[in-house]
Amino acid sequence: MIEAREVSVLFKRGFLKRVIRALDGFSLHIQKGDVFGLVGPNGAGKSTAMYTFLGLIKPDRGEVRLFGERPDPGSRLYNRIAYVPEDPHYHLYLTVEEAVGYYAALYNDPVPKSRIQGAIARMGLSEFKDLRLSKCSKGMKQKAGLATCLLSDPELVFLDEPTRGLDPVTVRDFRDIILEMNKKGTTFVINSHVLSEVEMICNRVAIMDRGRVVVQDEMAHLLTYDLENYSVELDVPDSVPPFLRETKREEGRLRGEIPAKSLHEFLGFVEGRNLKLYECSLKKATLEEAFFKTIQKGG
Amino acid sequence: MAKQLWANIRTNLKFYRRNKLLLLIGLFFLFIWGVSAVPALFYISNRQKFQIIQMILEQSGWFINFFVAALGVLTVFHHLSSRSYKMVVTKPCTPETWLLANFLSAMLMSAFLNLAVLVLSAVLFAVWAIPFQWGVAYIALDGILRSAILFSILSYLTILVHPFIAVLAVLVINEYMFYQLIVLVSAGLKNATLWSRKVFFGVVKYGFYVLYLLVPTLFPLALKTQKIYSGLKMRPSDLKYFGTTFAYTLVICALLYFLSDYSLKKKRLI
Repeated sequence: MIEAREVSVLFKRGFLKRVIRALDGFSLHIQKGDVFGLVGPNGAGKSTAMYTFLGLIKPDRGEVRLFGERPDPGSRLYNRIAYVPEDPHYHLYLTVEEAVGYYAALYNDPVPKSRIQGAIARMGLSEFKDLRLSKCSKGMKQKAGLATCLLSDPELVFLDEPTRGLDPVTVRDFRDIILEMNKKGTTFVINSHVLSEVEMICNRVAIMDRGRVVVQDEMAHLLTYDLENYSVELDVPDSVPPFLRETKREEGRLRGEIPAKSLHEFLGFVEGRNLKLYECSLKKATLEEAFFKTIQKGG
Repeated sequence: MAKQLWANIRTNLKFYRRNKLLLLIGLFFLFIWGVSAVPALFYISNRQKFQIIQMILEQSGWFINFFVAALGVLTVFHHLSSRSYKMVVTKPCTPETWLLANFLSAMLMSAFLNLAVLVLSAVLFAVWAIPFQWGVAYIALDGILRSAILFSILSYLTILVHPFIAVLAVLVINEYMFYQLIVLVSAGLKNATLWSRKVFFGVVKYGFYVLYLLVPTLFPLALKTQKIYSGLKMRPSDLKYFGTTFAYTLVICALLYFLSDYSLKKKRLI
């Protein structure tokens, strides 16, 4: 569905036209039906990658293909695509209803007015539909942008930091919308700093650093069990054995990690002191841990 | 394409209506026009009535030209700087459609304003019992074409540079500047005694002449149509000037449209 091969994007900045490599040999493959997360530190090139997919930036080297075609701004290809920008780059002089209606009118297939109203209602903007976007809060503008995704049954949706500025209720609604649309076959590319959110929705993820994809894998593979360590929770003992790495202590309980090879020794320690053991399981890595491990390794 | 074109035109008209800067420009010109024209309507002799209509036409022509140019500058600058343009081209709406919609929206405004002036003039002719002069209609149509040229030039330049520089460029680098330079260099050529200076001035004069021809004129056939503007009279044979002006405007606008399209596509929309 999306294929980026050895893409390089250079920016020239300042008086001396210093060259910055925003993307440097960036390669990525996104399949149909994916909810794909792009994560990485600031300046990793996530937004540039998204702009390149959308055809807003032409690569200096390499090639990007969407549905097998080169993305040319405004082409018929965009009938199958929806995009919600990070910052509210909307027509702020329009009202919510006018803006959603305008974006709907740009699609080749006519969008019935009832569908426009429905999308506005779904995002909880019905009572603000006559309010100009310039007067709306950032969250409301973002909701208006998300409403446009519901207009045309897109096959591919690009979301650039989609939940920034949204309240928790809307974030949950929004997550539901993504999963609902994904069930119907819509592919999502999500660029986000909120790793927990990416972990929750995405089935595949690419970790980017310095303009390159450092890791690209199934979320399930990234969040594998750490076979080297056990996560344990027990009554606080009088003395902590050296193989137990304490991470948290509260209300008479101690949480920590033990190496797998010390499991028998640990169980003997618990039994010997007649301590209650609340949890002892293989440790599961979070996306955050996988992310930091990857970034620290430098790929 | 027609659907997208119409959607963009409607949105542009809303932009014009809601843009405070445009409103200010409009009110400013209306104030200037009012201060100079309205009192004259009440304190004039019969002989001066004709000149009043001429003055209204002349001032309105300038105002419409500047106002339509401001529409071009502000529409392009606003949508590019606020980055809302990228919301358009990430939908199935091409830069060509967006540019054409900008042009047509401005031309609609220009046609409306020129028609309003034409109606006002016709009313004054009727009220003052002066026979209607068809030159007024010619001036209105010519006004639409003139505003189309200025709009296209400024829209194109605004894609490339900041609007302030764009306006400055139009004010400084125009056919009159090159004409003055040709006159200046011609004087130098006439007074040159050394053959090397003659060659130098000759080459420079030729260069300026080429630039003079290349720079789009804002007032095509101004000398030929001078009589229509001064006497408000139009003969059927004058229509050929309109035909030529129309063809020239079409060529210039088409050229600037394609250049604008090329520059927009080259722009990195981030």
